Amino acid sequence: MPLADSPIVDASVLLELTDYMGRLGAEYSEARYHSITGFSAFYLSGSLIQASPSDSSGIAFRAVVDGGLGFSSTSKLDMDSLKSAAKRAVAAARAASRLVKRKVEMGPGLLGTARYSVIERKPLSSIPDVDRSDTAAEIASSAEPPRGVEASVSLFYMDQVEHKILVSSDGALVESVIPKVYIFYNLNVKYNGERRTRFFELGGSGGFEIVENIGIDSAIEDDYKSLFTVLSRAVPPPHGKLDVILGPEVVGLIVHESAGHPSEADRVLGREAAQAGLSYRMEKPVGYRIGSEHVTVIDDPTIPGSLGFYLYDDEGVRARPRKLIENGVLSELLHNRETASIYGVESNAAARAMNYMSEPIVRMANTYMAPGDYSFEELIEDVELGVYIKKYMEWNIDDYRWKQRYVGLEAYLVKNGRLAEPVKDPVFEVTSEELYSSIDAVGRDLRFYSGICGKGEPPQGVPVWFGGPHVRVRGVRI
Amino acid sequence: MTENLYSIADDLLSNASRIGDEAVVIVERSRWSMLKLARGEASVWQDWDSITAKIYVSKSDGRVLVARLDNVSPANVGRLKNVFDKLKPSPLYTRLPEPTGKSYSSVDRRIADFLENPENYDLNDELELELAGDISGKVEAIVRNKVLVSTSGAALSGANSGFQGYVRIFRDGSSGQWSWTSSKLDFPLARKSVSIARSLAEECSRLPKTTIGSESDMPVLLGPMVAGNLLGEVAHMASGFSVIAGYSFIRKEMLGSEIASKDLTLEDAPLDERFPEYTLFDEEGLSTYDKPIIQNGILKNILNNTRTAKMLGLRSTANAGLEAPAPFQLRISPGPYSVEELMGLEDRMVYVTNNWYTRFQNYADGTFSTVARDAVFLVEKGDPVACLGRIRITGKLSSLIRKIIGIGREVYPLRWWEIELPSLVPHVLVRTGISG
Repeated sequence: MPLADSPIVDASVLLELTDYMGRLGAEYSEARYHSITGFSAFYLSGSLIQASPSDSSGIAFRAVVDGGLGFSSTSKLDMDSLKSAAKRAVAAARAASRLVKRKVEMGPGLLGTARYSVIERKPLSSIPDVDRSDTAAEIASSAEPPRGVEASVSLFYMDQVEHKILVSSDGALVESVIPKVYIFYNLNVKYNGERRTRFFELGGSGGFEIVENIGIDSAIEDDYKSLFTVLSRAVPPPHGKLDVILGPEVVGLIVHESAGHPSEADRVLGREAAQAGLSYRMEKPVGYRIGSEHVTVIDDPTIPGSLGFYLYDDEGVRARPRKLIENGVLSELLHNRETASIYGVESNAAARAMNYMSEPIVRMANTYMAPGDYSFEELIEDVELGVYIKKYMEWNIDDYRWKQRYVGLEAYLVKNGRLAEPVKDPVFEVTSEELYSSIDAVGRDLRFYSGICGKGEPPQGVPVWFGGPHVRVRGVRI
Repeated sequence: MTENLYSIADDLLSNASRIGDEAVVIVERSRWSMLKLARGEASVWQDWDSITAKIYVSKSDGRVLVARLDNVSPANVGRLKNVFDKLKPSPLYTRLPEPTGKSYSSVDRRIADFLENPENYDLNDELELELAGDISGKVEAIVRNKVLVSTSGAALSGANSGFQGYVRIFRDGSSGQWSWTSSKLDFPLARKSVSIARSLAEECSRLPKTTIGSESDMPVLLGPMVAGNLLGEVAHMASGFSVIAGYSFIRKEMLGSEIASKDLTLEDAPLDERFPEYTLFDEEGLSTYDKPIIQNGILKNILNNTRTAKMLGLRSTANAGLEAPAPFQLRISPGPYSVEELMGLEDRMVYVTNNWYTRFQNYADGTFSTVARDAVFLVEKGDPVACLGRIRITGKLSSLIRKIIGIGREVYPLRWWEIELPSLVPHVLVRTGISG
């Protein structure tokens, strides 16, 4: 029984095409049918500005010839067009082979022959497209700004059903159907003549139940309060070396940026050197202590309901959790089959492609700091003078993933173990090692946040979760 | 090719016009190839041949739909009707304009040949890769054919080509990065980029390394790659959509007022045929034209399609975007100074040659920071005296453009990850914050 209503291309066609690439000289060949049926809508202060159905369907091919890697894709699904595209992948691989010093090989991995799908409690298809986005917009509109605050909300709603069939010449055959919902909003708030903005994302894999349960209204209301607090009461932050309590939203972003990205093996090898850059893990091998014993960072594609959910990656390798930092020590890298072959390890299934026009590259899925056993009160109780950064807006990190900066949006002074007045835009600049080494306590509350992570050339945005608990960082510069 | 695209577009228009009163269909075929280089070798060669369609449908009661389809099946067209029937009116609805655009063809045959016969081109030789050594980056060639048909009578075709890329070269712990963009297969331009990136890396590697603290009003010489990124952000914030949605420090009331230094002129230049996004019509079929966004410091235009123009009480600037208006290509007018003269305008400055990761703390006033990467020089009395690490440039975009001290006379055609549009950019000397 097919997983989706109307797969345009079935596995037998893909098998025929991978065989065809083999006959053209490919040492390795791969064909991926990748269809994303989507619907998006944009609302401004509750009014629908425009609705946008979309259908992105096609086949991606990869081939290895004489150690060169070639990629092609097409949206034309007749056999002549497919063979033409398959031939172009082989030709591209041959062209690349003339400029290769280290031959590309596909390393080992637990290749699957499997079919799976995510269950939708309320199937997206059971509710008309516009009703889904209207519901999200109505929930958003029910959030009230504080009195005296002038506010506008722009809300982008998107859902999609991603259907993939992957076949490789060395035995992978995996079919999957994963529905997802993704929402972001931007608040623009004016109070006492001053304006502030807040951008936030929400999402998960599953059906319409996500829209109903994810808490769009409570998130917006909480953000209204944050912006009002900043505009009405926040004072300049203290400067110098202080204890800092970071909220789960900030911790999630930090582990994504300074533990996840630097653990991508292709980045460590320099494959992204001109784009997203390199990694401190080029010089710091597995086993290097980068943080305190309290720090464990995991990337796990298999978390049910997550935005980065999958059970097999886009090379057909079975997914599993990956420990990137374990008790403060650098642990495994994120691998696809190409990087796994260079390191002499098995792929841990980190290959993801945005759509049929994209090559699979090493990506995160759902990255988080493992929780500890502290309550929030216990984290702050012995802080004499510090800052609690609950939410952020601006952040960035250098291209070695070493020096980073986070600017608090909602933040508070901590005095003698208690939260005190709100502070405005505290800037937290730190290196990865200084940060992870200075964490001396980790909360027991684990929360996840949503985002679209960018990488690759052409740039690919893939949905991810990132998260963590509250943590306490001792003596860092604000 | 164009005939085939018209056939697809006409068929879609016929279906779309049965859904609403007005419709626009754009069908585009892209032949596109990209070599990605990493640490001195090819990491992958990618090749695309795609046909995509964009469909706009509206009705006089205000309903608006914009669909993107790679798979033009009857089932998909049926789905559009189901979606459209359930829509509520949009406050941004207005009737489509009468088409005024003209068809054009501006394809460099050598780019088309490169796409079909890459084996005839020795990129090792053309880009002097051996000389470059530890080089990463991309080299991309593209030919695009598009047709636009509409119920208001447009039947327009356009054909473009592009040859663009960027390189990052590493030398002894330092690096330099540069980019290029052209509508022609311009290998000398690409080689010049390789040469600039190499020189920056080599100059940084021979200078002593130092660090610098945080300063709030430091003279910073923005290299063209940096100025292209930051002034590109200003151009996007001048989109009517950004203004309406609050993603911008620019507001309609600022039109005609001085928002930047008199030295700054920033133009949207769709008619500049030297670059790959050259076009004679926008996505509503209107005739495009070059226009200042900021002219001698005065905000002259907010970039609009007819829908955002209506909401703002302005006229379309022929910058549709069926979904949202956007600039096509950017030009920043050159100033009087050589780079050496700019470096001599202040006793001490920081010269940042590349950046990435520009993020905003507050879109409403443009509070931002961005991270320098590659060669960053400390300049004293006109000479680079040391190479700095990855400092940050901080401040407000709204202030940064007011604090321009000088602009260089040489302009560079650039496009890369952090410069989304083809942009012709000089060096720009500003006063802004840095953090070391």
